[in-house]
Amino acid sequence: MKKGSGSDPFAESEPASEPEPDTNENEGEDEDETDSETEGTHRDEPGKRDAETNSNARPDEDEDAETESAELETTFDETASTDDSKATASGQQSSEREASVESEQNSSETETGAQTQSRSQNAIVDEPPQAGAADGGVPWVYVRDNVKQDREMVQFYLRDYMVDAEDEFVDAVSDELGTDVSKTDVREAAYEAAMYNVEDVVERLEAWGFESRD
Amino acid sequence: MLTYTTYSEAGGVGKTTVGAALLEAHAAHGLDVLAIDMDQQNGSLTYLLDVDAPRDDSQADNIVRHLIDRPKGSLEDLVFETEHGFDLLPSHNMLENLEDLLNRAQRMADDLGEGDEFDPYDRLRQVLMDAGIPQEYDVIVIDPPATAGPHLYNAVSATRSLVIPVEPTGKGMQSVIGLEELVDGLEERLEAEIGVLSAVPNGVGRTTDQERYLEEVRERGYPAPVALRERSSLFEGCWDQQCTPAHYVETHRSRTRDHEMETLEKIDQLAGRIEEVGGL
Ligand SMILES: Nc1ncnc2c1ncn2[C@@H]1O[C@H](COP(=O)(O)OP(=O)(O)O)[C@@H](O)[C@H]1O
Ligand SMILES: [Mg+2]
Repeated sequence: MKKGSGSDPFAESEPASEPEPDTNENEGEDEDETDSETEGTHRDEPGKRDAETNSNARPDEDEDAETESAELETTFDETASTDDSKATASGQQSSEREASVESEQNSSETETGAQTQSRSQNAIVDEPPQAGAADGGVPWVYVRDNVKQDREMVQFYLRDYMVDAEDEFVDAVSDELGTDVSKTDVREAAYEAAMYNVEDVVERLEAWGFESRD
Repeated sequence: MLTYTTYSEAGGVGKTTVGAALLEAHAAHGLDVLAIDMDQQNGSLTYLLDVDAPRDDSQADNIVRHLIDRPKGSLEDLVFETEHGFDLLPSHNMLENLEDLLNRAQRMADDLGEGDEFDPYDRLRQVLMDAGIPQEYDVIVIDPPATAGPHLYNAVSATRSLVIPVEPTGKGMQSVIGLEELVDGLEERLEAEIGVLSAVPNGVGRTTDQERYLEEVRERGYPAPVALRERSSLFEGCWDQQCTPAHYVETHRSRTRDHEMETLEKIDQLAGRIEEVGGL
């Protein structure tokens, strides 16, 4: 075998002169706008992006995040508001009722945690057990063999509008991050982020119709 | 002229996806390009390129009828123009029975005393040549199914060069080691010299080191100009929208994404390199 091209399969069919293709003059080149386009859409300097992701700024307080994920927010908000009414209007199933009792308790408990907002003291979730990019250690994503390693499967029940938004969410995150990231990673990160934003979570639950007991 | 089959021992490594991306890039380089879909399965190139060919009408003329020497029209009439600047000879459900049909054709040829001229693994090359197809194109790329058999043998015999997407895992790398033997086997069977134009580590994840895979492949002497990263959003988007990657980014992305542009540039580079190695 050859490393390179093999023999010419049509050698016999083109005895003397193969008609020279006249399209061979790189007509395509000016169509190739990829370079210039890439330069046109500059992303933020890495430093700035870091600051954004590290701060717990809510999207609507953060102009940059708003423009960056405008697409996502509109689709998401629309479906959210229409589905809100549906959810509260239609009778909830008993399993959902059980869950609602639970989350009511949780939300009243955690409200105080969120109010203090000092996550070092009152963090609901611990630091991830694996070394992070900031430590000297090798970050988890570099040592794990696959996306499911060290993870437990938990079932999540989502309404359609959330399921529909997920792919776009993963896209938006991948895009901001500059590399594709799996839905599994995004889900965990999103859930972790939410644990630092109890207020946000509470707001949504209230919008769905959960009311405080007092 | 440049002819190659996208080949990999396993399925799902990206033959069709990478093939479509390369076809688009060759066409963008101003070349006259023909794709031939030899995969009978539904997730084939014909589907990806959204070509609406009558794949389940066995009365209609199709590539298999030509391969078994029972054509109903000229081969050129079976060629579709895609929206992506290149042509496609589409797949057909009759490909599912290619092996049986070729055997039967062989028997009929034997009965007629023409058995020696009928080579069931060299039919595609013969048919293309008879139709004058090689004179009309600069590049012919064939997308075969993953399983070894008459589809693959016909594809390789008609192109004699391979572009090999490689899964960037231990298993994928094992298959690179076994490649030499495998190609030797094909050469013996087809009695032709077969070349490897490029190996392409495809789907390299964030967690894996693409340089390492490129090195490993190059150490074995295979041209490997680029590794393609894991880009599920881009490539799944292509399958969803049924189009090629540059077309997808242009048409279905509201704004460009740097990491996707980088992948498109790599594909362009790979296509250029393959053209060079192939002597264009
Ligand atoms: N670089 C990549 N990153 C992410 N997904 C990919 C990549 N290359 C291919 N895929 C996906 O892998 C799947 C299988 O690809 P396909 O081209 O059909 O493989 P094959 O033709 O070898 O069977 C497709 O869903 C495709 O979107
Ligand atoms: Mg395929």
